[in-house]
Amino acid sequence: MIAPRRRNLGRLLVLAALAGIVAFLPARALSLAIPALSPFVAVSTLLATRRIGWFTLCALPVLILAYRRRRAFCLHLCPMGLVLDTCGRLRRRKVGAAYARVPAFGYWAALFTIGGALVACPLLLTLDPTGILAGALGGAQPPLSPGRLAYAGGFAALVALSMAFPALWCRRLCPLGGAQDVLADVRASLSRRPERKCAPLERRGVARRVFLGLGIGATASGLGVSVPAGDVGGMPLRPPGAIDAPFLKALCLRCGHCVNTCPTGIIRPSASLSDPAGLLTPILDFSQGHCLDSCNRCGLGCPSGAITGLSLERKNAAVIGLAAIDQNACLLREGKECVACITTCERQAVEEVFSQESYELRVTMNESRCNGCGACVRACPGHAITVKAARP
Amino acid sequence: MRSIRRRDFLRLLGLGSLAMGGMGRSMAQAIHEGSKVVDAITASSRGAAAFIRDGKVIQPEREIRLFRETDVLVVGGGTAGVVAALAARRAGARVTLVERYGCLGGLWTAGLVLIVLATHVRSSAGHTKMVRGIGDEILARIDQCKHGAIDYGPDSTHDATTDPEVTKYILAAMLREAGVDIVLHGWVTNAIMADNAIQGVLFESKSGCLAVQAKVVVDASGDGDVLDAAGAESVPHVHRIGLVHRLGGVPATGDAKGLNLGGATPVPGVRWVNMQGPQGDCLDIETLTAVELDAREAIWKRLKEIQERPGYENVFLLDVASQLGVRASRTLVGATELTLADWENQREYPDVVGLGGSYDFLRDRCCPIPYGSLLPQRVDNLLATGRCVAADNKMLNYTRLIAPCMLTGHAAGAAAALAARNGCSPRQVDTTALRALLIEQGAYLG
Repeated sequence: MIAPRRRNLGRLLVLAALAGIVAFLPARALSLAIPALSPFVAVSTLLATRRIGWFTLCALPVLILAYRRRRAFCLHLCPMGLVLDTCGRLRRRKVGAAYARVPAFGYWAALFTIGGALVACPLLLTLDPTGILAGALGGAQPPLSPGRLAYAGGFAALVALSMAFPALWCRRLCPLGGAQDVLADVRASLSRRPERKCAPLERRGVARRVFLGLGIGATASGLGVSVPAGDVGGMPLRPPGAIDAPFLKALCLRCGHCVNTCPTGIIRPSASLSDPAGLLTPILDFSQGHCLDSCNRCGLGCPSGAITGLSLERKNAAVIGLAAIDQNACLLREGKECVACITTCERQAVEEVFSQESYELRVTMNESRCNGCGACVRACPGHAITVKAARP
Repeated sequence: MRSIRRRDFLRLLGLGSLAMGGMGRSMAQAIHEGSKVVDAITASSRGAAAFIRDGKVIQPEREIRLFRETDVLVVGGGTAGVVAALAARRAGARVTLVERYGCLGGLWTAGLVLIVLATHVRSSAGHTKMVRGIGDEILARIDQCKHGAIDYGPDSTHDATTDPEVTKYILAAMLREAGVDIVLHGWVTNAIMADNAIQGVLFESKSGCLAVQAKVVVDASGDGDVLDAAGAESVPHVHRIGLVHRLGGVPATGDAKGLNLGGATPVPGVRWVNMQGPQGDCLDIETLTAVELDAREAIWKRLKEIQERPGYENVFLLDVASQLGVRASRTLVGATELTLADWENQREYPDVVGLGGSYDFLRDRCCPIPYGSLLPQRVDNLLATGRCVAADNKMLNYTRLIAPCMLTGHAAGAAAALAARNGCSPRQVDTTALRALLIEQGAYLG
């Protein structure tokens, strides 16, 4: 046993090291590295997207570790746990194990989410603490903006919760912890030997619980995403390669990686209160830039596969939306000598159509060439071009 | 009698006769002036009539009258040509300018494209004048005339629009003051070559075909006619061809929604209306004829629509441009090509001879124009200027604007004068000396 004093010293050193990493690593490196550790994210993503990415492989050792030993991730690796545990210890007066009376929400949340992942809609994946921490670390990096700071909201909430009720999150609410409990339970039920340590839930009926949890998750999530989409054209634009909106809202960790990594800053966290389920999911805003043909960072770095990692070629072929020209606002209509959109478009999607009848020239968008990159939006001096979503 | 002779000639031609082949008309002859018979002052240089041999029309070999011998010959009296002629003349060269129409200014005046685009770098930080020197001198003189220009001056946030007649008048006055030898109504048709070096040009006129010999030729024809004749490599383009017109009697206020009343001009009640027009090959006479005819019809049709709108009954068609709005035809394959990608990557040139203002797709900063974009790769003693300088199919939408034409014109004229003075080809001109001369003539090079 290590003396408590020395253990505290170690804890402080680790926290200081963590702060150092935050200060010196670029935001996108952090938001990449931390969620990659979570087996909960990896399993949900694997089931939901049916793709094996490098994130899946990164989490595999952790998964094996957690299978071998109950809550191994919580005990040895979880940076969020370290932070929250420290917060809990800051209290002078010890409250004891107040959490003991709270049901194991995390356990059911994990089953519910993984069940949802089976129908591509892991509804509570956003509660994964690695994603929450990555959001906070990425969002706290300069340049600060209200949108990026919003990603730190979950972190702030957890810190406040841990100050008030120490260990409640880690022991009862955290779905990543719950997932490890499920894993340990499954192992215990498969093993002939009775487990020495006591389980939070009884060993018996593990299979029933798992099937019940997964079933409820799959059914609820399936019902949730089957709600028909409204007017597609009015929907927000998503980064290229983003999966369809209802699934994206479930799969997105809200880690802010795409927002932080986008070189032109066109990816913004959604702040639309009319779509609470989509809060902090990535949406595009072309007012300051456009999606570059030379960049596919947002997809490659997405830890949950909410934005599919695509090669440059495939990313450039992915349709973000379709540009539409308001003919009444087009400067050509006023006789202005303007070629801004034609000159800007790298896909030759803007075509000049001349009518011999009216002897007028219009520019129109060739829908099969336009990928909705938004380059023409900012180029247009008449503000006549908008990109409209082509799919939910 | 001339008319009878022509008729005879046509008849003979129709029969396929060779009888006219040897007939020349180089001798002075009697012509009518009013009721008086006088001796013709100028001999015609038409040469012997053509004839048909084996079903092919043949022009007999002939000697062309040498009409002028000069240091710098500028072909084309548009914006670039006029500025080039002024720059070369002021640098001490003897300059001849040949223009195909009866007025100067080209598309700026005869083409009724009245707005001088891209003179400034305009950004949220403010407005910086880029076109200084001769180009700005012209604008300032136009502005001094009554109804000469609007939106000109330090307080203006827009590019200036000028009156075409004032512009024609000022351009001619400045050329004459400078002592430029102006030849109007001359349509340049061919080059005089000695190997890879151009020695002068031929042009057709009412006086027949005439030759001008020059040490340096500046191609300001817009279509790169001299470049092509001299064998310099060029890129053909298809672009929109429009026909601009002016409306008079346009009320200052009213519900003009849906009507294209164009832009304001310095004359009250008069507006100029641009036309985009169809895409076409601007070097094809059938295309040009068709567009000219169709566009005029379209203008009248639109005018009728305007006149049907309450409040606009008295709007009338003031004039239609006498020159088609050709946007791009040929561009030079030059020593350096201006490309949009280079501008975006902020490429630096060692031989910058002009800094153009910002534009639609070149926002917030200037556009450096290198001397290399005026230089043909092979042909000596020849410079391109104006619309036909070396630019890719995106940048030509910039180099064709009036302000960039002023800059390339200034550079070409100054370089031609230096080359003529030093007895070298333009490609051998020292760019440091050229830049120094441009700055001396008021140009802004940063």
